[in-house]
Amino acid sequence: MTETLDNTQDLLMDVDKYNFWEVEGEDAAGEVNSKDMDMVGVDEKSGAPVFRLTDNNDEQPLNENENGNFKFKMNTIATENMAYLTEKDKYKLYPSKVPGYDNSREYSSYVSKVFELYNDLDEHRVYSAPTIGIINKSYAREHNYVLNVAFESFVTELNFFIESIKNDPNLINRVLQLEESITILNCLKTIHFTFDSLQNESDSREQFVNSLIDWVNRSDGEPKEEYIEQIFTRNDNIEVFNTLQFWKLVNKLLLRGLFEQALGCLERSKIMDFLKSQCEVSANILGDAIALLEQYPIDSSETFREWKFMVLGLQQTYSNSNTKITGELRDYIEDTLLLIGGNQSKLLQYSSTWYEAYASFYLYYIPTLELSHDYLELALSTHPLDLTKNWEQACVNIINNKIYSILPVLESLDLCTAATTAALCEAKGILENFLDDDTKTFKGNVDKLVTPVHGMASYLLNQFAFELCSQEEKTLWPVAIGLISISPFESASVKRTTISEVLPRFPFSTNDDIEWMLAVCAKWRLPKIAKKIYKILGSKLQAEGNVIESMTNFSKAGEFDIVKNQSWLLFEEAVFKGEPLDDVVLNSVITNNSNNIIPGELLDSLVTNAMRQTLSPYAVLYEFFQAKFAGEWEKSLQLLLALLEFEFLPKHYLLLLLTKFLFPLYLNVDNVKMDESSILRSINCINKKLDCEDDKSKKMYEVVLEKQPSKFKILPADLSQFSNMVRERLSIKLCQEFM
Amino acid sequence: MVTIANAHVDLIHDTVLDYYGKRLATCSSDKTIKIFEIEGESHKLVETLVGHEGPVWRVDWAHPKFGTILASCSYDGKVLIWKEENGKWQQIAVHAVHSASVNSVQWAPHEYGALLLAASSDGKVSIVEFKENGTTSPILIDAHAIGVNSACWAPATVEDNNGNPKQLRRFVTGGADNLVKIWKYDSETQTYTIEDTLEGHSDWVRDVAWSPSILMRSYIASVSQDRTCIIWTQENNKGPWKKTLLQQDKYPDVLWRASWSLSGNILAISGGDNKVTLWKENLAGTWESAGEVQ
Repeated sequence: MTETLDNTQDLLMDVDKYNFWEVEGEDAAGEVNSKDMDMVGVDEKSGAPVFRLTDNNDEQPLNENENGNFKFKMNTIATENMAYLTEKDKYKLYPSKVPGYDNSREYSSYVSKVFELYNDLDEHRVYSAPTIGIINKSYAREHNYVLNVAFESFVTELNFFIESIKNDPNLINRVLQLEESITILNCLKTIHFTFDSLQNESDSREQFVNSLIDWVNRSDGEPKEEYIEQIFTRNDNIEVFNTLQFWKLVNKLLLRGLFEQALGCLERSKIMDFLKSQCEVSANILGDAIALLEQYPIDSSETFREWKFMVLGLQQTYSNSNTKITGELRDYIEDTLLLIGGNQSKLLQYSSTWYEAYASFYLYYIPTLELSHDYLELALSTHPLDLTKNWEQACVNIINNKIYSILPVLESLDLCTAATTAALCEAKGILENFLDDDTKTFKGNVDKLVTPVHGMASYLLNQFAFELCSQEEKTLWPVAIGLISISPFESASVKRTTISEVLPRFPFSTNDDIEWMLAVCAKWRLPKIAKKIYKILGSKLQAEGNVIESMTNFSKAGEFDIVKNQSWLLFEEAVFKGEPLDDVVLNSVITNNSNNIIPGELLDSLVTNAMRQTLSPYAVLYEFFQAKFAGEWEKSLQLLLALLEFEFLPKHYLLLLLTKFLFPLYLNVDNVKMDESSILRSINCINKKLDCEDDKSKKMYEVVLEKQPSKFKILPADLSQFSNMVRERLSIKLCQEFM
Repeated sequence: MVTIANAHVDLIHDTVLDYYGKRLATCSSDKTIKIFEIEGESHKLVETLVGHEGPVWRVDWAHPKFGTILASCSYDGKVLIWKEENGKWQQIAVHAVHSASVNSVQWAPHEYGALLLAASSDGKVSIVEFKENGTTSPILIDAHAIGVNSACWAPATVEDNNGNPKQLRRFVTGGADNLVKIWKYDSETQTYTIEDTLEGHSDWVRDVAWSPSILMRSYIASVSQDRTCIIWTQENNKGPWKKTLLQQDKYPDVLWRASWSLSGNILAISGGDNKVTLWKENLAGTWESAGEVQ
């Protein structure tokens, strides 16, 4: 050590480096949406979070201690579930989000990053059992390497996510859950995603040891700062190095691989100064031990052997030496030498948890995974599991290669993390095979949710994708569709069906959203869904009053009846208005005139064949208005007659044209002349189409009467009377023409 | 959260969001159905449908491929079908085969066509198909002697029929005889026959809900006047139904509703105790609380 470490802070492990999150006495229940719904406590029995529907006391459904018939409906969108009371005078609805959904920006970023790395795995998403042969062997090594790197990145992303939210006071429990997840992942990474890489042995060992140290230290954050300070702060005259607590601390730090911190403690205690003045032998031995610890061979098992040989020699020399210090201090130094020499009983004696002991066997006994189960057994025989911590049992299961059993634990903490873990483990081939080779059914009483056809990873990935789809947050939809698309477990037809069902629910709002939806349809060859999307878009634009754009989309959706209806509605509106509609786009479409506002290309992209056909009556009506306003009465009459004679003109629109134009402009005015042919054509139309018993015509007539200006009430109260009046006026016109 | 005030002027009985989550339908003892447009956090009342002559118990949206169609059922013994076209709502059909209150109504999975399931206090359930030409062909079944309180379709699944995939069309009913019954379509007789009778409740079954998740395991939740919720599960769409009490202790009050989330991974139970409890099955197969809403 070159610098003097003389305060507690310097002696501590680098807390920030390990990102340990410490909150004492808190239960790890979820409260993700505490921003959206007020979490008011935790249920005593289940430990589940209790939420209030509204944070406004005046708006609570019921007062405290008041009971009522409460009902809750889960809906297709997680944020739009509805709560309400079936109670007298309680007529409010409470839209509510389901607690547990994390819709934060940080979570979106985490999910997207994790999806990206899973997506990038390509063919490595699938595990294929290695067979004999050089090529296959090298592929297997490459496969393992790719997955190990992916897992490392996955843990890094989770770490970033925790970092990004750890200072939010509303998310303390969420952070605790994620901390628990990362502890489990660190253990999984250490045991199953480190050693079988393409790298050389020294890289693997270094990675493994660092990973092991990370896992153990991040799991509980021991020893605590206060504890260390307490040991160094003494009220008596006894030097700290003469106390058992001090040596326990040093040994604990060594067991956990915190070499720098352990050596810092020794330096701060000034033991070397004391020994140099009191006992040269002890000073030399401890000095050598410190030098050896400073050079702990993290990167090579070969060097480790040499290192351990030297440590054992040192320890042997010390136990055979006569020293000037006696009693407890000599025992303490000797214990530490035995400990770093890998003495089993000392490793177990100075460790306080099974995972400390387990890690110390790797660091000081024999660094091999082959003895993993023996180490675990030994560690657990001295320090049993703390069953109150989810991660401890999970980590033991990981070491025992029972990977399936950790997934429920991870799932209860965070579904994204659980699904990705399952997918990577499945790809690595480390999920146990529970299928009976002969019957292809499950062996024993294992999780029934997992089926032989759809594995655990598939189940979790799909669940996760569906969860993302049930949220209104659209940024994660591409991830959801992506997860379904790249799933190596489902057939293409299952994927197509699933995407078909899910995609139309996408809460689109921009053109980019629509482009994306249509791109998904194109990629998965889903023309029907594309039509459905056009229909949704058509409805939305219609509601916003963008009629032409709406018609374009309905046309693309193949909804020709809707396009026809919309065209007739435009026609109806213009007739009632008595002039062309004030819609530049519409009028450009029917006159086929592009202009500065509506360029030709845009016009071409807007107008479909169906629109050209269905808008043709409106186009004639437009011309009729132009002629009428120009005072060209004969031309306008011919255009009106063309409309009346139009084969597909609905009966009620014939009536409308009669009441609004033919009768008031030509029949009810004596000085406007009609030639014989026009009169006969009019009579013919009326005979053919005017139906006084037609419901729609009756309703239309009522509307016309309502809208008739009070000063110019020229129409009779009854449709049949109007029919007679029209016929009468036509006869008079005919007589006038003959006369 | 933003609440929707004074949605009705009498007891509210049901609320349902449409397929796209853009419209909300609610119904009430004030005999009306209200349609709200949803835009972000705002809920705008766009229509009030009047036609029933008694309290309206339930509403359900048809799949959008059939158009914007809503079914409602009422104490007046009728099921009314409403359709929106060009922004205008109108009643397009009346289904009046029941002689007492119709307590629940639900559209079938769209794969079966525009098929409606109605459950009535007259002890019968009816399945009626709305065909394109407007005619209907109702099937009437005696389901629960004293009355049927709720009926719910199973998600569309396919069964293996000696190597040939065959549509498996099923639904569940819960009745005043304390029973839960599973019904299955028989394509030969073109009717529904009883597949299983599930005994477990000691009082009226108030609601039944079949999980929409299409896993290899089927889940039904039944809630009852006896203050319990039972989860019934069946493996691979065949064999016996296994009964699991959601929680061993009885709830403090009557349970009214069971509702599954879209993905079927969360179950919401609500009742007379001013509380909604949310449940999640963990991967070990046990049900654990996922929260409470008050």
